[in-house]
Amino acid sequence: MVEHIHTNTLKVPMHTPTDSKLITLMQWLSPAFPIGGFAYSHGLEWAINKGHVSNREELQKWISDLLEYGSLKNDAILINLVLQGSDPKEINELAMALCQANERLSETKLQGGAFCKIMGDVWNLEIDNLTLPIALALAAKNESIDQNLVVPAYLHSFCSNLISVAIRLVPIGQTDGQKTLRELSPLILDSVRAVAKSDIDDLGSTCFLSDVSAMQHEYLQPRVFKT
Amino acid sequence: MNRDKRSAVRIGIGGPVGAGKTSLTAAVVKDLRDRFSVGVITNDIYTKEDAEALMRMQVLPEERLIGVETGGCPHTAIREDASINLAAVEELQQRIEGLDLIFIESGGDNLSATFSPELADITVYMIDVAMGADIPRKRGPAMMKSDILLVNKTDLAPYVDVDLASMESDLKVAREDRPYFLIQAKNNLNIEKVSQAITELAGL
Repeated sequence: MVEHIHTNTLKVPMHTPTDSKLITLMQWLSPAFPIGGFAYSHGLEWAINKGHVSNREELQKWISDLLEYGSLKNDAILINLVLQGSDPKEINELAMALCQANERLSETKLQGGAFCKIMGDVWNLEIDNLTLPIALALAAKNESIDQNLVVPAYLHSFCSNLISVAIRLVPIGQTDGQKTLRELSPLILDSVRAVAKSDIDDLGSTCFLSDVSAMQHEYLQPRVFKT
Repeated sequence: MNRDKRSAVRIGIGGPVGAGKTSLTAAVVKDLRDRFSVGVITNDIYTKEDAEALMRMQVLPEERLIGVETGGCPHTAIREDASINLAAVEELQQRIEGLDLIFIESGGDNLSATFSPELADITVYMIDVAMGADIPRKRGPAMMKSDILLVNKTDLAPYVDVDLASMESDLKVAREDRPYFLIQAKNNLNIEKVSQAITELAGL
């Protein structure tokens, strides 16, 4: 027989602001958030086609490098700058200038544009024509969500999307995909700490192969991904 | 989206790979292009081949066509996350002022595919007789709910052991009162009926 539980003796958990911020971020950065993320490979499609990424270990190394030295490090710094109060218009221009390839630019602008549209339609936040990290940073600022939540959530979602590309293209299995994401997690947290100490002078990429992949992808035929 | 500009009516064309969606688009667009301002968006898993095929067939000039890659997720791109197609719609309307119709050809779907109502105003679903006579009996959202259903390649029926009359009686049951047409897109058979049904639904 189940013992009767006196509910009045249980502590009812309070909803903290963090809960609602976390839930908001989970919605924005979910793969179901309709910004077309599934159609962009960030140049990974070319790298997979040319054999630079052909298994789980190479995929993990590829994404780790982006986090430490490449476009993901830049995105994290840019988000941080906006949340610290830099002029979003200026930082957005910088974000566009940092795109190493035409398709990198279209990838961030098209996803950013779709993000802004949903912000207007669902959150009544009028933002327009921004790159994805800057659109996210402004939306987060509007909801008073700080970089300690936004940066890891953004990086996690980006890594997860790249893993999904590899699952479809290499292909790698779903379990290996989850192993990759789990093993990237400490690195994501490291980069959050690194970003907290970074400023505008730390921007820049030394992930040359990834950047060249994004350029080469433009001429890749046949192709599954937009970028 | 700019609400000042009149928005084009958007027609989603879905159907399994190889059903003849590109041939249908070509035939219908040829029939309509002199009376209306038309644009086409093709979704393809692999290439911009469909858009290029339409260009090669000289159906429409290049600026009225956009090819969209779907990351291997053709259903997602027309249904739960149509952003990349919505962006293509916006781009077409910016390129060509006063477009009346935009055809959005999907990248190949199974029988449960549907278009997001935010993407397509009118939906056309297409199968062909060579896929087997049992498809109308399988129903599925695309078969039941599309505004217009088409069965293509009826000339192949004798070669694939399909009895068109019995297939049509299954279709009648599946479609209830919604329109369907038996066509041959390559031979232009019954295409004008399809065009007429589309323009009537579009209120043009």
